[in-house]
Amino acid sequence: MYQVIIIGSGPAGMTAGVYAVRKGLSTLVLGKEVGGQMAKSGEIENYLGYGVSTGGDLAVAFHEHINKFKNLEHKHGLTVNNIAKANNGFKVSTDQGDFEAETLIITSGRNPRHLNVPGETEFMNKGVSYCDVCDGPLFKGKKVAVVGGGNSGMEAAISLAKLSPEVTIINVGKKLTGDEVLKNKISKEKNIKIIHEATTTKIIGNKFVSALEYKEANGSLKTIEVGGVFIEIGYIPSIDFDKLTKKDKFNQIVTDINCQTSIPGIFAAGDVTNIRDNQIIIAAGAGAKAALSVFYYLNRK
Amino acid sequence: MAKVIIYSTPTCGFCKAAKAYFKKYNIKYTDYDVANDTDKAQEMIDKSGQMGVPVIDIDNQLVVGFDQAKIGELLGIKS
Repeated sequence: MYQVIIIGSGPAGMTAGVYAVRKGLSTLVLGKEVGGQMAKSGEIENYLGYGVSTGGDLAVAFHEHINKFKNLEHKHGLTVNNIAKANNGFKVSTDQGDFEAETLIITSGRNPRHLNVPGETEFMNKGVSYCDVCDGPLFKGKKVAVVGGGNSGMEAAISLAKLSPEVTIINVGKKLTGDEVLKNKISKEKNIKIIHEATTTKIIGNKFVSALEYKEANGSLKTIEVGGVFIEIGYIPSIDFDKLTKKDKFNQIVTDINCQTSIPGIFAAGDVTNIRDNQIIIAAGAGAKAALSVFYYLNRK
Repeated sequence: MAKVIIYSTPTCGFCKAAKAYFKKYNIKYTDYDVANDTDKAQEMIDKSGQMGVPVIDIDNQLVVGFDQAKIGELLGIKS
């Protein structure tokens, strides 16, 4: 039995892992993708010490850093299915076996929200993407659509406009939401079109995406020909495996200032929680706090 | 020695993670930048039937994404 199992191997989880082993706790980090959302991020200039870096470089740097701690166990590429109270702590069930620990730190982050329209899953990686940083370059020379009129959508459109002859933003609202700076940049780009009050109804294609169908405000259906669809409509916390802790109305895990959840012995940090700001450096800080909270909790048991 | 090819793009975080993994275990590999090489991009799409990166070809067996467990298995690495 471990003293702590950390669920999630992004910046929060990896930092929590380091703090936990340095306090002498037997620690296991379980994650699906090393680096988490960080690995899918583009340019980052506000994680101090690395200059202007990319999320991918930071993810590799974090991973190499945690590898230096020989007694920090970590397993990647696995999916956590459930957590339950057990014996003197908790049982974590994964697709690669079950693990037990006295305490848990949940740092499972967020996943992109899906549109839930026909064609979306069929064409995933065949023209449908949730990450323009990851996949944008492969759409060079193709017309693309970006679904989403907030900051993520606008940022995706701006970067895709450098590669694509025409980028169409499909926005469900009456106007773009998000920062003025981005709205200004968009208005300057000649190859970005915006269609407001448009609800995506279907993604169409053969082997790969060829078009997107949407409904206008007046109810009529229109189609645009595109070789790619980037879906940027927000994120949902990754909490499917967690039926124990209290969540807020956005399904984020509710924590106090010391990362304590509603369940004694379960702590949480980073984007999966009701933290106000979703930043790598804040997630890392929260991971550290959560690990220290575990240490104090175990001392008092 | 297995023949390893990785199809990657410059900004892809998992591509970098895969290359760091190869470096750690001294695996020789050929890296094709599909953001800038349209022929190799098409080759990747034809081989894997999809556009996500990385695509890793180990002696003609494909792994889409940095699936460390599967890659380790194909290369005979225990990690």
